[in-house]
Parts: sequence; C-alpha cells; structure tokens
Amino acid sequence: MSCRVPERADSVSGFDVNRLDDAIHGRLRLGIMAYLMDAEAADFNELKALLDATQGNLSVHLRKLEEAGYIEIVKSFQGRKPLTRAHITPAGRQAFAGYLEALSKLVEKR
Amino acid sequence: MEAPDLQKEDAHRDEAHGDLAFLKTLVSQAPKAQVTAGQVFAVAGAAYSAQCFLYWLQIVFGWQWPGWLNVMVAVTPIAILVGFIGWVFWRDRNEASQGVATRALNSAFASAGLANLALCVVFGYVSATQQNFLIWLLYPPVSCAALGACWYVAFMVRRKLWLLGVAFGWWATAMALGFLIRNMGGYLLLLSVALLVLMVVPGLIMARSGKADEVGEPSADGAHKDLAFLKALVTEGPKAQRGAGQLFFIAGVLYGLQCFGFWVPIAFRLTWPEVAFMFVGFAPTALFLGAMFWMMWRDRKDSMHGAATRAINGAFASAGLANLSMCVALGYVSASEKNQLIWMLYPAVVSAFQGACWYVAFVVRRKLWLSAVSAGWFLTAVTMGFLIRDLGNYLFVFGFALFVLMAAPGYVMSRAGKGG
Repeated sequence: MSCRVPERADSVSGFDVNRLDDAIHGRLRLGIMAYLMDAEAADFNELKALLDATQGNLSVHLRKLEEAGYIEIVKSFQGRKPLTRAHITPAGRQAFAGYLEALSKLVEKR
Repeated sequence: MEAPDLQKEDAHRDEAHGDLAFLKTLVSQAPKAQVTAGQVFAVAGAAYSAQCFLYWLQIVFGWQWPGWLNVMVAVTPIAILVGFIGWVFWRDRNEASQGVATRALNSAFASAGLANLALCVVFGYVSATQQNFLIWLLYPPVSCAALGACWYVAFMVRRKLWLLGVAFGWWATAMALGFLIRNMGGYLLLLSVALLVLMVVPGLIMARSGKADEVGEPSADGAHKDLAFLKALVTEGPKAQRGAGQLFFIAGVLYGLQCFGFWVPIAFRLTWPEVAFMFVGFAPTALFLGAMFWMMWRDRKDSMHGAATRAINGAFASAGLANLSMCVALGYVSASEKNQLIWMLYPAVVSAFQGACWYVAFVVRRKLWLSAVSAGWFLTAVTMGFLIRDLGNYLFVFGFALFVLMAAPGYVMSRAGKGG
C-alpha cells in the first residue's frame, strides 16, 4: 500500500492535501501508527490507555488500518482473557514514511 | 484566487503542527509505573544489606551465633523479598497495560532476576559438588554484574545520567568483590554498602518520582524537529535490528567455530600444534572486535529516538559490559587461585546474561521466537553448570548454543531489519 496519487496540486508551496493518506490521516490512527513505529507490536488495552480512546472507537480505527494493510491484528488468549495485539506491517511502515514525507512539504515551506 | 488557497494551506499547516507535536509527545512518553520497581529495590536492598552487615559484624567481633539465629539471618531476606514481591503482584494485578518504555524497564529488572536465578543454580551446584565455598562467593559478584546490566538498560530508556552511575557502580562492585574474595570482612562490608547505596537509594528515588518525565511543550515552532524525530523513528528500529543481528551472527559463527575448534581434538583425540590452539584461541576475538568497531563506525550516525530501540540496544550492550566485568572478576580469581574450574564458569555466566538480554527483546517486541531464544540461553547456562567437569560435552553444548541461539537469531534479525 502506498500513498494516494494526487489529482491536483492545490497549493502554492507544492503541498497537496490529497497526498495525505486517508487511512492514516486522523489523530487516533496517526497515534497508533507512530506508536507502532517504535514498539512494533502493541496490545489493545495498551493502545486504549495510551491514546485515551474508548473501546469502540479504537476498534473502528484499528480495523481501518488493518483493511489498508498497515497493521496486522492477531487475536489470542492470555489465560482465559482474550488478547488483541496489533503488529505494524512493512506496508504500514512505508505508508507512514510516505505520510510524513507529504507532511514535510507543508511544514518545511514557510 | 490565491488568498483562499493560502488560507487553506495555513489551516492545514496549523493542523499538521498540532498533529506532529501530539505524535512526538505520544511516542516520547516516559515510563510511568516505576514506583513498584523502586519499592522492590528498596526492600530487597535493605534486607540483603542488613544481612551482609550482620555477617560482617559476626566476623569482625568473632560472634558465635546459635543455629536458629544462623538460619534466621540466612532465610529472613529471602522471605521478606518473596513476600513483598507476592504482595505487589497482588496489589497491581489490575493495573492498566503498560507503554513500551515501562515494559522495557520492567523487563530489564525482571531479566536480571531470571539471570540471577539461573546462575544461582549453576554456582550452587558447582560449589556443592566441588565442595568449594569460594565458588559460591563468586555468585554475588555475578549478581552485581547482572544488576549493572539492568540499570544500564534503565539509563538507555530514561536517559538520566545517575542511572548510568548506578550501572557502573554495580560493575565496579562486581570487580572489587572478585579482588576481595579472600578478605571476607571487606567483601561483606563492600557488598552491604553497595546494596545500600546502589539499590536502596535508587529504589527510593524511583519509588518517589512516580510522575512521568517531561517531554517538552508541543509547539508549532518545534514542528521541524518533531517531523525529523518521527521520520527517524520509521527507519531506526529496522536499522538497529539489522546492526545487532549482523553482530550476533558474526559473534555466533566465530565463537561457535572456536568452541568446535577446541572440541574436535578432545572428541577425536587429536593432537594439534600449539600454534593452531593459539589461532583458535585468539583469532575469533580479533575478528569479532574488528567487525564490531567497523559496525560502530558505520552506524555512528544512526539515531535512537524510540524507547523500544534504545531498550533493546541497551540490553545487548549491557550484556557485553556485564560480561567484561565478569571476565575481569572471574579471570582474576581463577588466576590467583590457580583454578581453571572458576574460569569455566564464565561461559555459563555469558549464557545467562544472553538469556537476560533476549528476554528484554522478547518483552519489548512481543515476538514469541525471542522468548524461545531467551529460554534456550538460560537452559544452556544451567546445562553448562552441570557439565563443568565434562569438557568435551561442555564445549559442544556451548558451541551448539552459539550457532543456534546467537548466529541463527542474528541472521533472522538482520534479514528482518533489511530495508530499514
């Protein structure tokens, strides 16, 4: 998965909002991706506490990232408790790098 | 129609600055749950320090204790520590999931405990079977080296200089205890003071400062820095993995071949010329050091922003530094006592420290195969303790472990980190 192809360049600085990957764009999904860049894997409850998100909201965002192929969700059991763990994928790492690259066009032009 | 475009872009820019500051703060979050670890350290340090101090008093004043008192002094610190750990586990059983920095730190402390446990079995067994109390006296220096390793990881994660001081304090203590091994009074007093200064005091500091470290105010001006931080984060994990993997692969192959190089003449009753033994003895270390320094030079500009990357690199580096302190302590005692058996304990210590650092990697990265590597090293350490009088099998087991538990995981890591 890579960033979306721009339809038009809509800015004087060369920044194109369409280059921002919709699957990543959004605070919670950005947070998940940034955290997984370092940790590589994180439990559902870990992300929930870290991002101060509700269970339902986090589930929706994780699913969106999973559908984009940026993370892999592994479900298992720890003792009798169900355990949901998110792992970053190589495509996810590449997409996040692409997202930051697109963002840098905006940040670096003043 | 430039004005609306500019306005739109400014709005996007403000949003981007906010997002970047949020992400930087999120990823830089310091460990939060250090209170428990600090409490355990303070209690353990105080109990064992008091025990060492009592033994020291007994020696200095020549006291004769009744049997029940001897047992009580020996058992009380263990009972206090086990009871306290059990209680904090119960107390914190419903604590929320921890972030990666906290996980890394707690795993470092836990790994030191596991290494100590494995080495307690090794040194206890060898000391009992050889009926040599001096070997048992080498166990505290090894524990000190393991503690130094875990405080080094804490330094790498939290980047507080005093933690590095504690780590080096433990390694210096480990070596000093080796030098004092025939001076029981000095040995016990040093250990008692070290436990007080390097365990109780840091434990109290940790238990007191439960709040998270400051992570810098999010600001639009810092957007460039935030962006650079996040960009580095994308590639540094795989890069660090590749570097560590390559180093492990090289070390595993070189030292594995060295072990087999010594094993072959024993197993097949061959007589090799002296020069061949010299080559097998020194060439792997020379080659390994060459490769290590070259890689350090190659990767000297690589960043280490993420807590996970810092923790894992810290764990692997600390195992090396702990090995170095043990090399000095065991080498000195072995030479001064003219006892080759003491030097034979060194590979078992190396194995236990390897188990500890792979355990940290497992807890941080949450990959099951890393736990298998860690368990394999702990098992190797204990096995080598049992095989210490059977040189052939001893060398074969260590050589096998170096290939399977060091070279192979190193290769996997370097492949996984490719493209970083």
